[in-house]
Amino acid sequence: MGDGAKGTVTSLDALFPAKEASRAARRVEEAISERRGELRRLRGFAADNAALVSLVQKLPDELSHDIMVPFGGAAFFPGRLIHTNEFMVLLGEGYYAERTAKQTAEILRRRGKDLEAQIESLKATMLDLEAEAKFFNSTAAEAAEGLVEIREDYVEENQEKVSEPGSPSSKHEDSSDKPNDKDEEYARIMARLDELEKEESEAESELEKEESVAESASRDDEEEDDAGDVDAAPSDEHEDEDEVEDAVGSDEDEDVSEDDTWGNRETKSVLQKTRVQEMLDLTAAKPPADYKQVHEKAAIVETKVQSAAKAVSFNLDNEQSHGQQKPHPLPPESRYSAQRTEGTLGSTSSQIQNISSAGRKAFTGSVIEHDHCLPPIQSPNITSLEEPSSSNPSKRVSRFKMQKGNR
Amino acid sequence: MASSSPALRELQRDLENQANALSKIQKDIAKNHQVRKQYTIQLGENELVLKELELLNESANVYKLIGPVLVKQDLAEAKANVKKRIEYISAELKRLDGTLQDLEDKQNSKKESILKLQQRIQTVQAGKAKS
Repeated sequence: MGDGAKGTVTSLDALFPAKEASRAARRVEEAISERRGELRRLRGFAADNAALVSLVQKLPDELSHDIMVPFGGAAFFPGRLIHTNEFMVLLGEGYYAERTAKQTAEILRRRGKDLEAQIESLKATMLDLEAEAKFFNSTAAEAAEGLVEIREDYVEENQEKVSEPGSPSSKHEDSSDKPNDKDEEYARIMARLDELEKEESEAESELEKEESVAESASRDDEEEDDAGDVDAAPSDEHEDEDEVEDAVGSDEDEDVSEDDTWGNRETKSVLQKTRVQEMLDLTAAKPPADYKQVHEKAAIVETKVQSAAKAVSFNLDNEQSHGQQKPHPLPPESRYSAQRTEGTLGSTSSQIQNISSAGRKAFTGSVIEHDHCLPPIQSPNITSLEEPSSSNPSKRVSRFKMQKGNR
Repeated sequence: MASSSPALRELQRDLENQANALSKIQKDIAKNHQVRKQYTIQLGENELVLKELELLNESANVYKLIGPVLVKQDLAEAKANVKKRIEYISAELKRLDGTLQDLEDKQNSKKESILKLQQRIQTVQAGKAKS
């Protein structure tokens, strides 16, 4: 393993043996069938009760009814039913009460209500049991398929690490096969990220000032911008709001609501990841630096960054199979970082700038999840998100260039 | 080897005894659960009867089924009887709860001792394998 995350790969089968899971599922199913039997019984009672209520109400209609009285086990004789309004009602525990038809009907109705309440509670428990059974079944199926749980240490350093307590949902069977390759790449990118972080922190203070100024301006711009950057999808916060919505189907109203942006960013990040990956591939040498810069200036370059970032994000994704736990802080960062990576990279950055200057204001914030390594950036990112990468592309470009010069 | 073998056998016998005791405890717990369920149902029924008795006015006739005979009872007397029965059942339930708790504690401690025994057996076996 490289100096990347040290992980353990455990087959899901070991944690949740298929047989045991299926056995547990069967047990739960038995409990469910028991409950179903109970439910049927109770429903029968409720039906009987209803029939009784109607009978009790009908009997007092006549002074006496002519009936066939059962006699013994197999005989009947004709007789009459008298005192049609007097009922001996069983209250329970061997206690009877003499009541009229109306009172009897009320007693029965109250009993019916109790039955209904019991049925409802039984149904609720059955639902819980069914959910449990489903979970067991799915776990058994997953274990049978040979899913693997990947657990990697979380190293709280500048380097990004994939730290995810292996969850059964991690189905990265591929990564388990090639951990070494990913680790090396990962380590390289981590180193770059460290560099970028430093630069970012320097530029952050600058950015914050600019952002506060641009916020109001950017808000207005967001609504109007309709840059048809389908590729960028969730790139520009302000500019590609409409685009993003159309393309991604998610609300890119970053300005509108920060809360929403998180969710949007997540989707964006998903889309952009592929783009970032491309970027990563191109700029394998300096992804970290790029990311930092991107944070600060995500405007024009973003669109271009998307394509480039695709590679980057994709690579990162592979390496951080579990790093997607916190997409919130990452999307904005990744977006910026994606842009930066493009900007800082020699050829790619120039391309990006060209493309971005071409008028596409898509915020190609490829989702490079750097939540671990770039926590301080989150707050500025939020603010920067609000002010959709400054309505002035030129401003961003210049700043970007500036940063390039700084490096 | 010869010395460890009888020791090993003894340990295993111990384990068996403990396992039997544990299963007995578990059966007791199951029985306790059963009885508790019964009592709970009876308690519910009695409470229902009390509710209906409260709703009756004084002139109503209340009968009690004793064997094959329906005996007329005073409303107040019937209410008192039902209330006493409810109290009795609640007390029984509480007693059963206490017993259940004891049984569960015993079960846990038995499980632990069995685990320890098993570990000891494993180490002894490992030692035997080495030698």
